[in-house]
Order: sequence, then structure tokens, then C-alpha cells
Amino acid sequence: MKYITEFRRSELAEGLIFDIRQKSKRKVRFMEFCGGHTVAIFKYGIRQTLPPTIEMVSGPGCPVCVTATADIDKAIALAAIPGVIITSFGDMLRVPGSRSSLQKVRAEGADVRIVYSTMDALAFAQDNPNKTVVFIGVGFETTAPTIAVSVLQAKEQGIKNYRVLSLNKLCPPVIKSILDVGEVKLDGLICPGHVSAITGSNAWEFVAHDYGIPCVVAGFEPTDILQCVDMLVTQVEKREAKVEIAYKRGVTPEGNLQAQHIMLQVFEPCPAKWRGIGMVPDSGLKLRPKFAIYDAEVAFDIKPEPTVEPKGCICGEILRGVKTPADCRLFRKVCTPENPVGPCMVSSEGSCSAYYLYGDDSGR
Amino acid sequence: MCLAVPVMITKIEGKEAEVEIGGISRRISLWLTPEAKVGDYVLLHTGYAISLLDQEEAEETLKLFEEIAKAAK
Amino acid sequence: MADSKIKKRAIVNVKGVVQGVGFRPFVYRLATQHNLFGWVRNTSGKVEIEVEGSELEIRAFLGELETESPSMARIEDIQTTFSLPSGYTDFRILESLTQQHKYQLISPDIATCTDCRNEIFNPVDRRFHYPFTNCTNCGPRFTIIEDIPYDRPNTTMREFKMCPDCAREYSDPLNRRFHAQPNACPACGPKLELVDANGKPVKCTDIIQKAAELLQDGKIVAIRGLGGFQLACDATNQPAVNLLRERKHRPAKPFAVMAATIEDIIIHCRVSGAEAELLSSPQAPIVLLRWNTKISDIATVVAPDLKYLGMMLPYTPLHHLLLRETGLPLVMTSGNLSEEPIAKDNDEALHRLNGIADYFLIHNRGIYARYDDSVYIAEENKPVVLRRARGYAPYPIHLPFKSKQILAYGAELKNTFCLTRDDHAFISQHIGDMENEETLEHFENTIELYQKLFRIQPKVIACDLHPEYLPSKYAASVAAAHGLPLIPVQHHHAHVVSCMTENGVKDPVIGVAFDGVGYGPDGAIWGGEFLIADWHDFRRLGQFEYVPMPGGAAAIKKPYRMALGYLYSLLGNDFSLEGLPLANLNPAETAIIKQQLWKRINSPLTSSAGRLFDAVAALVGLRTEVSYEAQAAIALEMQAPDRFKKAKIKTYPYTLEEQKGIIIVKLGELFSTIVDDVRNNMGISIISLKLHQTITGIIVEMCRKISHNTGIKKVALSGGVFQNRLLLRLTSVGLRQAGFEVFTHHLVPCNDGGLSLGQAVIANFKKE
Repeated sequence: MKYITEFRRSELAEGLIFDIRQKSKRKVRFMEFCGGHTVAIFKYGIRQTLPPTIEMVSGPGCPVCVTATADIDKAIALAAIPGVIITSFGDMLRVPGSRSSLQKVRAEGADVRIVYSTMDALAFAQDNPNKTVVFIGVGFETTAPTIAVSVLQAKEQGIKNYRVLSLNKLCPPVIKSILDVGEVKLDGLICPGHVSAITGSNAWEFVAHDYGIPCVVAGFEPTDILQCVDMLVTQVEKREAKVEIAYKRGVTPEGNLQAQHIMLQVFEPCPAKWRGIGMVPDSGLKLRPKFAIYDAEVAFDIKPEPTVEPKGCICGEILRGVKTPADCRLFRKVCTPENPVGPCMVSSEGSCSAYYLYGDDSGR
Repeated sequence: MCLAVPVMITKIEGKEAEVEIGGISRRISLWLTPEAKVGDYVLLHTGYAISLLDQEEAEETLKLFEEIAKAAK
Repeated sequence: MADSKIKKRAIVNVKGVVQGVGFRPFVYRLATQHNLFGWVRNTSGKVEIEVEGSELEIRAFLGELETESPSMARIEDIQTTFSLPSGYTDFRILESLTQQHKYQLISPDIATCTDCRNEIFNPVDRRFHYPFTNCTNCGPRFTIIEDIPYDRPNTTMREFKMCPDCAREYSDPLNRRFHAQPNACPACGPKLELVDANGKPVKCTDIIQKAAELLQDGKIVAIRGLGGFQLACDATNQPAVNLLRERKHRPAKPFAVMAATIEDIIIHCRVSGAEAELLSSPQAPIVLLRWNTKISDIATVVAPDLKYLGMMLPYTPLHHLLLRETGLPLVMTSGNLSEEPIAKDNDEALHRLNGIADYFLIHNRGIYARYDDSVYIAEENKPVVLRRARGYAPYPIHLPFKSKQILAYGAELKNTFCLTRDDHAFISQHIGDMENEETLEHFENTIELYQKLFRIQPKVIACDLHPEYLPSKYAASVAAAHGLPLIPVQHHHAHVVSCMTENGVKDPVIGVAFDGVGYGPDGAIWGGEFLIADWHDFRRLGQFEYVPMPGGAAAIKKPYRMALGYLYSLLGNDFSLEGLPLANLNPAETAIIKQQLWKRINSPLTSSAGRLFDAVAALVGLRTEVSYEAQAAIALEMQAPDRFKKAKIKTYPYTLEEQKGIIIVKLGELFSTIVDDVRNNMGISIISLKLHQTITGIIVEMCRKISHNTGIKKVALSGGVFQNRLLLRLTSVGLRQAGFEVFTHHLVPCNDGGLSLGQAVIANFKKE
């Protein structure tokens, strides 16, 4: 069992597709929250296999995409400080801020390094005692615990020149926000698979219970996503609304309790600004006072210039599921992966990037 | 940033482990999955194991798919 | 063959809850429908009926007597004999007959029915906004009865003479108020009054509206409800709730909240079908519900650090009117200071609640019996009682045998007493903690009331084995004064038998009795017990190992002491607290505790499961001091997630060692592993789950071992620790999977409120 190829077998996928087509009678709209799911759905051509009764919309589950321009500007401002080494996940580098990007300031001489893991950032800190290493913390509950570990490790090992710019966000609050606003009526939610590995499927109980929307936690292989759709259709046809796990090999109801514990040891919820959505209460994470010495916002007085949003960019509406990239005037014409206007085209999990790479000319 | 890959643990040293990805050995952190053992498969995300993969569940899921595929014929 | 021409007379005697439930009017209507003549009357012992007419009609009448009886009636027995007609020319309700030594079952108070509720909100109804509306299907019963038979002159309503309209309803067989004893209306019935803390009436045009305004303003209002006074305040107003806590000297114990409708409850909590049924039942208890703190605006300080919130629906017209007018969920807690009995009379309340309530909503309908609200949970979709009072007492528990007349005095905490006769066990409503003069007085008065109402003259007195328990001392003095045999009963034996009795189990069972404190015959404090028990006797076959409690009762109030007790006695006196939250304790105090343990000064031994949970809660740094019983253990239970994959949860190691025929659960490894986990920064939720899973495993393994030696396959779970819903669930499932038949409490609490029943049953079978 290697957990990958077995779940890509086409005959299994075909069986699931048949089952879905048989069952699906009512017209429904499902949202896949996670950017990773958006990409997988495109990459594996799943949209085309689904019956016309099922409409899919994408949600704001791309942490890079939902980082506010003002926050990007903070990271860029930090890069400009002498003696600072910026470490970041690769995706963040090309995201346009108000006036620049991390990639641009790197070209202008700032020390900006792409890392695969916070472990690498900590190693840089150890190797460069005269500099301050700042890690740009972007991600959801999948990533936040790993950043929390890096802070605990810094404490354990007495590393004093490591800081985190915490732009991490939590998923359940933003889903609640979207449902409360009610712009898009949903009949089912495809819950993020790896966020749920940490939070557990318990985190989505409120969606089923308070909003009456079926939820299924999905994995990322083609059969995983099809199984999820199949289970959602079953719930819809039975007029049920509960939380189920399709991705049983990786997700439990309680999630990774140790990871949750570590994350909440180091971070506490705070209000956060989501691109296209605005301020969502208790949806961000900030370092607790006990760990303030590792907080980049406490260590440095960051004063970026006024925020300028990219003109014509409708990333916000795409993130809310109200529009698709095909609706954007700039899509493909001005905004491309080589020349991105907004983050949705930059991120490997962004809707626009997925549509561009895997969609057909109709924009589907 | 939901990307996580299934990898197998080949060696454990304290809170770190060695895993194999595409023929190459990598060092990862087990801080979030202290209960992992050699031979376990874990989901690897940015250098950390975030969850243990449950082989029994995986096999059951595949069995379920096979039943559905059979019924579809 | 039944012939419509032949006339016969049937003499029918009906026993059960058949008074105060509209039974006589029902019989009247039924007889009339079937063209029968005769009469019906209440007596002290039963409802007597005579009907004569065609045999066909009589048989139909008898059938429908059972099947069509009013919803609140509970028929236990019908005896019918036939005879020749007497020549009745009509059907009448005769005057009630008082008989010496005969008794009836008395209906508990019934929550306002839908019809009455509609009337009080109907602007054209003459009872519009009348807070004392009731009918044959609802209203006060037990709380206003001074003696049987149930007739107005025997209730506190005797002071109110019915006006002509009410009198007309009362005598009209087709009216819902036909023979409704507490019948009243704004013209002739009880009246509401709003006074300030000095007893001065508050000027206003509409009392309910004014009271609602005061509550909206954050004031604390004492309300004279059904069984006594309640203290109310706006549950969404944090400062108001905090003020109430301060004044009641109740820093953390949760408050119950009343909401106007079930839809309002759903705003704040998850409600399952079984829970909704309980909430809307005629008993209308407080039900502990899963609190949805994400969307509920009820102040967290109402139930600090808890996942569950106790909520209830309005159960009197006064509550309905007030809740609707206020438009807010209201804290509704008993009108008392800390653990004293609930205040019931107006003067009493003004005096005792002075300094607690800002205003008093009082009325002039007397309350004879004090009654707290009942508390229930729904487990596996079945109701389970935690506190048995309003709506349930004094309806008896059915005994599967005919009992002597026994008075069992119950426990020290959460006291109830139990009086038995025939196949009835009359368990009193929750009395409270027997720690003060007022509670003792309430206790004595209630015993007197029950003895009078049910015509019981106990021949045997039962009590707890603990010589220092107030009820035991009292029992001893009463037994001596009347020359009656006194039967002391071991605490945990009583718990197990209580569970057996309410489940109708007679065969010996493996009794798992887990609680905080219970006197052991060897002088130690028991609490983690595995017994073989039947109604006569018990044998202890297993226990948690004895561990000293440094400071005795002090270790209960301060779980950190208990934690140290476990650590130093199990892991050695030179055990280091480094890396543990306990290391933050005052080192001087820690040293003193070590000395106490080393020298065995004031450190009684205990096997209590409750203390184990307390100690682990302190060990992980969750809670080191408590302001109410089991607060630490509860905090630990709350840490576990609602849903989890059982198979993935590990357990802690432990060993079972046999010593002199008793299997001892050795806890050293368990504690040292928990210590390691804490030092390794393991999440408390994981430790909590592991502990619960471990205790479950211990229970299953112990039962297996005991079953292997004895062949017994029935297990009874009892004791206050099983109020821990996670433990109860895991244990029930685990034991069933291991092939055991599992019995748990539903009608009688698993906590000390259920003790008196077990005591009575055991005393009954004690050979003199």
C-alpha cells in the first residue's frame, strides 16, 4: 500500500462516476473550499465527468490567495530592513503587493530565501547569528502547527534571532462568514482534507448542524474526490445534513489533538483580514504574549505605505465563489502566470492558475 | 497550502525521522505525530508529519470502491 | 354472552396516580357516553366507581377506562367485580371519602399545558395574562397538597373561594376545569405582587412588564415559582450573572437557563429528539444540552468551562408570561444561599434572600412542599435523571416485591430519603446537602409530609454506615426513640442495589460503584469498588489501590493535594515535581504535605475513583482547587473531544494484583506514564481520552476476571462518577462488547440522590 496509485485507478473512478450519475436527481451546488481540491478537480478532469445536476464552485481555501495586500506589504517592508533574512514558502514570492513583490525586492538586493520547511528557516537562523531570520507564516490549520513547532524549537534550542510574521488563518470562521453572508447558496461542502487531518471532522459539525449543509471531508486523489461527491449526493437525496469523512485513511473526527494542542499553545485566535471577504473575527492566529519575542510584528515597527489594490482584479469575488476566472476581464489577456495581477494566478492552489493550466477555452 | 504527501518512515531519531520520497531520503519532524513508528506511513507537509495514515481504512476504502465499480457494470 | 338488555352493576376500584389528573371528570364523561348510571369518588386509598347499565356498555366502559384515561393519569391497578343493579338514576361525582390508613399516589406538579398557555396569551380570554391559570391537565399538585384525598380544602387553595365563573367551570363535566382543584381566575384567585428588597410594592401598571424591564436592566429578581423561590437574571448579561454569583457565594457551579420556547433553546444549544421530548414533557425538567458557544450569546460565566448548559422551558403561566415579555433567556437558579434549601414563603424569601435579590415577584398561593427543578440528560436517547425533584417526586419507584414499611435516611450529600410500603418506594425530592440546620429542618418536615400523605409508619430505619453522617446520626436517634431496628447499609452496596432495583434485577450482579466518598467497613474511604451484590448482601472483590488523602477533606477541596498523595505514595517520597505544573505550588506547603503523607498524619486511605480523576486534573495543570464537588474531574471530562475514533486512542498501563482474595488495581505505572506525558507536553485532551479509555479498560478487565470466578454476566454501574457521560458511554459499550448485560440508572440518580432507595431495599431483606 503506497497510498497514491491505488487511489488513481481509472476503473474505480469510473465506478464512482456511474454511481454519482445514477443517484444525482436534484440540482445542487457544492463548494470545494480547498485550493488543493480546486486544482485536483481540474487536473483530473472531474468537472466534465459530473452530471449536469451538479455545479461546483470554488471557495477561499488558498492561503496565499486570501492574504490581504496590506499583509503582503508588511512582508515586503520587513525585507527592506537591513540584517533581516526573509524566509518564505515559494508561492508567496510572486504575489503582487501594492507596489512591489518579494521577488522584485529580492532582485533589488533584499535577502529573500525560499524554504520548503520552517526547519530550514531555523537552520538559517542558527547559521546566521548576526542576522534576524523572519519566517512569513502563511497557511491554514495544516501549516500553523508546524510553525508553532518551530517557535517551540527555537525556545528549546535558545535560538534568539528567529521571528515569525504570523499571517496564518483558520478555516471554520471564514466558512461561517460566507454562509452568514449567504451570497452563494450551497447544498454541500467538500471539506479540506489536510486541514481536517489536523482539526478533525468535528470542526465542520457546525456547518451541518447550524446551516443544514451536508459536509464530507475529501482526500486529493481522483477517487477521493469522486467518493466525496458521491457521499454528498447521497446525503442530499436522503435530505440529510451531517459530517462524514471520505478520507478515512488520513482523517478522524477528533483530528490530530497533539497538533491542535501545540498550535494553541503558541497561537491564539485574532481577527484577520481575508482578501475579497474583509475582516473575519477569530479567523487569524497571532503569537501568544508568552512567545512575543518570536513575533516579527512586535520585534519590528513595520510601517508599510498605504495599500493599493490591483486594478480590475476580481480575486475577491472568485474567492467567495461568486464569480469564476472566466468572468474576469483580465484573465488570460493581461493576467497570466508569468505576469500575474492578483494572487489567484500566482498560487499553485489558486483558482485562476488552475483554470489557466487545466481549463478549456470556455473557461470551464 | 493543503499539499501533503504520503511517505514511509524508515528511521526514527528522537523527534525526527527519515523518510523516502522518490528514492531520496529526507529528514522530517515528528513533533506533531510523536506516536509514529518505523514502517508507518505519514502525511508529510512542509517537512512535518501531520497525520498517520491508517492502512486498514485505506484498504476498506479501496474495497468499497471496488464494490461500487462492480455494481456499476 | 354480553346482552344489551341485561342490566348489571360493576364495582370498580382504581389505584395509581388517579387524583389531580382529571380522572373523575373523565369517568363522568365516559359513563355518560355509555349511558351508565352510578357514581365516582375519591377515597384516601383509591378511586371508587360504580356503574350500572347494559353489560355491553359496561364492558366498553371498562376497556376505555384504561385506554382513554387522561394523559397525566397513571393507572396501576383496576379491580372489578360485578353485582346486581342498585337502581341508580343518574351519574354523580360523590364527595371524597377520607379513610384512615389508606393512601393514594399523588401527582407531581405538571407543567402548563398547551391549552392553558394559549389562554394566557389570548387577549379575549378571561385568563389573559393570568399567571395562575391551570386545569385538570396541568398546574400545581404536590406542592400545594397538605393532605389526601386531593380536594381543595386539603390544599393551600382553600383560602380562595371560587367566583361564580370558576365555580361554573368546576361543576361542568364538559369543561376542562371540571373538578380542577387549583382552579382560579383574576377575579378570585391568587395575585401577583412586585416588591423591592424591603418588601415595598413597586409602582407600576403591569407587574409582568415591570419585572421584565428590571430583568432587562440587569437586575436580579426573585420569583416565587412552583416549589419555591428562584433567582432570575438576564443570562446574556455577564455583569448581572457575575453579581448573582457573588451574592449567592457560588463562584463557579453552573446555573440553569430558561428560554421562552424550544426554538429559543435551539439558538443556544444542540437539541436531539430525545432531549426535545424531555424539555417539552409535562415534567419540563432542566436538560443538560450541548452548548453551542460559537453562536450562543449566553454569558460563558453562566456555566464556566463547561460544554453543557442546563436549559428548560417555562413550566408555569408566570414563567411563560415573564419569558415572553422579557425576550431574553433567563438564568433560573434556586432561591437560596449556596447549599441551603430553596426558600418557599414570601416572608422567608424576603429575609433569606435579602442582599441577593434586588426585587421580589411574590404571590399569595401557599407552597406546602419545597421542590427544586429536576435535572436530566438524554443518554443513548433515553432520559437519565441527575436530580429528581419537580415533576417526578413524589411518584414512587416500583418495587419488584412487597416491602415492609421502611424509612431510609439517605446520604449526606444530595440527600433524598426513601419511604417504602407495598410495592412502592417513595423517594423524596432532592433535599440537598445535609450540612446545616435549615436543610435538616426541611428534611424532617418532608419526612413528616410523606409519612402523612402515604400513611406510612416505618417499622425499620435504614441509614448509611458512616457514623458521622448527619442523616445517620439522626436515624440512630429516631430509631432509639421509637425502639425500631436500625440497619446501617454500606454506601456502595446501596448504590449498586439502587441501580438493580430500578432495573428490576434480583439476581446477583457485579456492581461497579465509582464515586467520590463512601464509608468502608474497614474504616477507609471507598469509592472505586467492584462488588458482588444482591439485595441481601455484598462482597468486595476488587478495588482501586488505597492511596492516602493528605489533609482528609482538604484533599477534596484542593485536588493538588490528592495529586501529591498519589505521586508520593505511588512513586516514592523523593519523586521530583520538575517539569510539572505542580512544581509551581508553594514549596513550603508541598513539604508539609509530604510530611503528612510520610507520617500518615490526617491522611485517611481512599480507593475513590472520583479522587483519581481530580488528581489527574491537577497533575496536568487543569485545575488545582475546586469551588464545587467534582469540578476538577468535570474539567478533565470536558477536555475530551465529542467525537473521536476509539480505535486510535491509547491507554495507560496498570496492573491487577490479588491480595487476600481481592483484586487491587495498582496505579503506579498509570501515574508515572501520565507524568511522562505531561513532561513531554502532551495535549490535555489526549491525556483525558487516554485516561477515560484506561479506566474503561480496567472496568472491563475486572468484570471479566470476576465473571470468570463467579459466572455472573450482569453488571450494574452506579455512583456519582458515572455522571461522567464519556465514561458511562465507553464503559457501557465496552462491557456489552465483552458479553455482559449492563444496567445503568435512569429513574433514580447514580449519585448520592439514589442512595436511599438502595438502603431501603437492603434493609427490607436484612434478616433480623
